[in-house]
Amino acid sequence: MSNGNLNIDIHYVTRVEGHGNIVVNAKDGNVENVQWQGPEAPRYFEAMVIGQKWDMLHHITSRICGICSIGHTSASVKATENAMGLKLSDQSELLRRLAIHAENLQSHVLHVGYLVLPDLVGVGSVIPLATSHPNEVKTVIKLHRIANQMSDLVCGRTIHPQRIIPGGFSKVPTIDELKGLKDTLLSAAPDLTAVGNLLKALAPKLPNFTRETEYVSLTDKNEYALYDGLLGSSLGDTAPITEYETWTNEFCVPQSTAKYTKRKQDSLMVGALARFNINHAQLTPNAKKYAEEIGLVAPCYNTFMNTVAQFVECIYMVDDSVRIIDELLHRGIKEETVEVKPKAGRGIGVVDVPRGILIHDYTYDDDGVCTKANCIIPTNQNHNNIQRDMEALVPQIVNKPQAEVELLLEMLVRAYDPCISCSTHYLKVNFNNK
Amino acid sequence: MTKKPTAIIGVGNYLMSDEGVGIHAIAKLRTMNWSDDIDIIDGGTPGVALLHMIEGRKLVVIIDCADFEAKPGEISIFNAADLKRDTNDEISLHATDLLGALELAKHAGSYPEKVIIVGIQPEHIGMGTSLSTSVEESLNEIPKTLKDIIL
Repeated sequence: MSNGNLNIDIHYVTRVEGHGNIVVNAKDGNVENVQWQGPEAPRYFEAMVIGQKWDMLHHITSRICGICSIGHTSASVKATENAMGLKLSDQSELLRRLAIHAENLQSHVLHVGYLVLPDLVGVGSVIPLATSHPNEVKTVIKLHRIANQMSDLVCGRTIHPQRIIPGGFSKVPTIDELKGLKDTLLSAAPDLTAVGNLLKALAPKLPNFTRETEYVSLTDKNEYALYDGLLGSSLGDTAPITEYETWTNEFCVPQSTAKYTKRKQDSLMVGALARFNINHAQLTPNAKKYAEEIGLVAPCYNTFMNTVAQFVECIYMVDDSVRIIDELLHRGIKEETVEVKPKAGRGIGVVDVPRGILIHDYTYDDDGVCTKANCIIPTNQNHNNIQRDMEALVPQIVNKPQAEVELLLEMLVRAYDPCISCSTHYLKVNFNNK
Repeated sequence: MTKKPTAIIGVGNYLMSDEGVGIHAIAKLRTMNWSDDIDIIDGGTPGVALLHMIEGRKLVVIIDCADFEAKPGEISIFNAADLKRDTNDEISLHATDLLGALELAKHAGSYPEKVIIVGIQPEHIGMGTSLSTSVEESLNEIPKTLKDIIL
């Protein structure tokens, strides 16, 4: 037992993107210090796009992240389209939604299958999981492969998409390719069921921790909003995306190089759980049924259930992708010419990506050269909520053994699926025989 | 989509100067003629997605920025099977798990017959889309290095 004495200094939390530290000190059951630290050096991506032309920004920003590259590309082209008054065709709108589904499916399957299941099974990573649960890991790999194939087909690449351009697409999939993708998605049903059943069996191991907070996501009266919509809060109000700055209210704290955010309450949370809490009524019947079976009920204030909400969204995204493909097949699909006449203006593009709302805001001059940029990523919006969750959780578990407290806090961070920095991880060469 | 038996995959972050040398190399290779049975792939920062780029192949050559304590711009060839993965570095989604993704491929039964890593020693890693002079010059040697491996 820790007897209420804790000296935790985790550098760095594993199985998250980038570096984050957890520092906790407690004496005789009194919690003296709780800090979620983000020590990553700032990346200044906004500075890199200043001086670049309108047709380059989405290529540059897609390289910010290997996981959310479709999201960054989509937010980027939407910002450019809004700045230059470009309107998408119905076909392009459908394909953009399909692209976002591909990325969310890729990312959620990775997080649930490779990063959270090891915690629930009690192993250190997916590598030993592949030995202890080989069939389950192969099923996760298969679902991940399907999401990647979907991205290849719609975006021209698994990551860092090429076909999404301001005004539309440079190339579109053929009817036969779409039919093949539909068959592949339909064939994934038993695999989704298998992983879903495993998650159901393990879900009771998720800590029962609740802390009421404000949830924020896109919301739209016509659909479960991911690609487009208004800013929406679990407190009931909405606003156009042009008001994003009054919804994020970025501020700095000493322990983190990343900015924090808050709105009407002490902190806010974005991501799958936020979307579920706000938009659950618009999920497909299959997704609603799974949520009910696993016990995910809105409003859910347990951050650890974010992983479950992600899997509910996986079911939704497969269902909705099939619906979109059917619509494209019904309409017919054709290559479209995109003509852009650059002009001065400001545009804001927002999409709800795997980890939450992603915002790109560009200002262009008459030649279509970017003169000002602002990018707000989802994890920045969540840092403050992670800190507040830790402050609420630690007093509840302060008397547990230190190793258990460490694991619970790491699991809490991993539940957010945070992307603290996007990678700069070159290969460090070490040989087996040394 | 049928996969070709050989893949040359450049990995790295294009926005981080020499860290993105694999991506610069692929752009150069794409201006040249290669056999029809070779896929030339800009892998970006693929993380575990690398698994799906390599599965079903016979030979995979990965071009990456690598620290093997040599002079900046020096190129070295490694058999991936000879490299040790830091087991304290739990698998994440990004390039720290290049070797982790390869290990996962072994468990999944989808490891290619051979995986070669062409490592380029960086001079500078920081914000920017340009390579340092030494690494830029090393790009000229990459095509010959690859032909020696593949042919």
